[in-house]
Amino acid sequence: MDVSLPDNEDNDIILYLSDPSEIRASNINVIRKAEEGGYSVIIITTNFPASVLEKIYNKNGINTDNIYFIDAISAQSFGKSPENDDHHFMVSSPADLTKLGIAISEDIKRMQDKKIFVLFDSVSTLLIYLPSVKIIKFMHFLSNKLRQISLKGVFLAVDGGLDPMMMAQLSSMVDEVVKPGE
Amino acid sequence: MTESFEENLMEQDLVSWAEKQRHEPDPIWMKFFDSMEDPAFLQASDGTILMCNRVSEDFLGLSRDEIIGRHCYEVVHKMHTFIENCPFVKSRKTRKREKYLIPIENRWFRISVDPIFNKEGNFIGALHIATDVHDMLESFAEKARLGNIVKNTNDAVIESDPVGVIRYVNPGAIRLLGYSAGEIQGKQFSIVLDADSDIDPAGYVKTLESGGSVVNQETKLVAKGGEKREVTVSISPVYDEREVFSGVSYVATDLTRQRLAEKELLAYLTEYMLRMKKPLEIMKNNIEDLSVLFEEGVVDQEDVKQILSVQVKNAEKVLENLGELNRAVVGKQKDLSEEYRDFLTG
Repeated sequence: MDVSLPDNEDNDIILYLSDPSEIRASNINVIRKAEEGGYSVIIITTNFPASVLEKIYNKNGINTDNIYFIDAISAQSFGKSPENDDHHFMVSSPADLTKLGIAISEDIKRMQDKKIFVLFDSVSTLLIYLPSVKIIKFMHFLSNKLRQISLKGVFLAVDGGLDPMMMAQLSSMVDEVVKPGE
Repeated sequence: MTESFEENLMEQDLVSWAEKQRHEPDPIWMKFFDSMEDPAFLQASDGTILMCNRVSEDFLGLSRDEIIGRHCYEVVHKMHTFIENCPFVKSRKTRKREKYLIPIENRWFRISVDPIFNKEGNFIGALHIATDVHDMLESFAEKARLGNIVKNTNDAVIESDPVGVIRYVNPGAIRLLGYSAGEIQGKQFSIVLDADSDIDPAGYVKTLESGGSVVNQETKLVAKGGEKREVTVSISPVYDEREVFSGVSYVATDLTRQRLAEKELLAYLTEYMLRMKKPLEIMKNNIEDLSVLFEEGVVDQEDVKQILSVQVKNAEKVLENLGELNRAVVGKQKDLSEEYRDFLTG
């Protein structure tokens, strides 16, 4: 898989559709490309805990020094949020979009002197916790946020996991939709 | 009303004439009288039967000699006096033909009594005919019953003549299309057909007239206001009383509710896919990933425990989402049985 998004000046925000079995690999490839592009990455994870993602990145030779996690899933497994630090911000649940939004805004503000890239992993997992209408509103907020300060980002989703209406609305928020095999 | 005689006959003349016919019958007159299919009596002014035809004997199960000289109420109704509303009694009073419907041995008869007057206008007797109208009434009743079915069905029934001119629309068609009967009768059937419809009235006439059949069709009809109605149409030949092809009937069932149900089903399946299939795929792949990562030594037992715990939470949430979906669906289905209601929401 080749993701050219960080180098493409025209496509700032991409909806990245992945086969369900490839979604972890998609995440790694996007992060790798972002790293190669010299970006600091804010990854919002609603699927794998940050601690596990870090190990996966390390295993794949990705330096995590410039990766900042907003982790909305660890608290689900630990029963309580792990401690926050410079690289980790914990949100109690993927359904808590308000805190998720605040965390993203604060991370972007805190890192404004850096070249930022945002990865949202994933829209599909969020659908387990929230109705599509709320997710669309949140993704609209996020895409607007990125555009306001000209940030690049990828919204990761499982191919075929978005209903036609949601797909149409998300497509209208992004600059490009990448499908499996493209 | 029976015309009065030229000569001023007296009742006794009528009695004498009948008596003579009984013993020395005029063959032409008797042939005529006996050829009548309905039981007929000539009665005196007091109701006494002076003469009867042959079919009366079969009708009453009595011989002519057993009938003549007795009153109609005795031989027909087995009574000792005139029945209530007896047309003979009424005719004597009103001096005109009287009719009466009466059941006799499980069949309906129309009794008609024509009074006979002499030149001076005196009532001297009557002609009493019992006509078996049972089959006719049954036929009328059946037609009325069928007519009511057509009238009261929710389906739209439209009948056209062989050249496609609408002859009849039932209330269902008026409701579906918004035209009054007066507005649409006499118009070509094609005015209610959508431009893209495959319905071919002229072709159907040829097919049906030659004894062929036309399969049901789904199409769109256009209502008065231009709204399109999705319907399934059953097309059948119409025959007149002589069994001659006389037109085409179109029975259209409104598919609006069905289409709505189909949309709801699609919405349910879409939600089902979103709430279950895709999340399950994600969870399955997460667990597979986890297995590989553990084998490769990327994650330890604590990580495995943590991720499995996340998948359990995800599974719980999926179940909760499905429960919500089922409760929403059940809430809309008023006709659902308690067993299914409990099963879907339990």
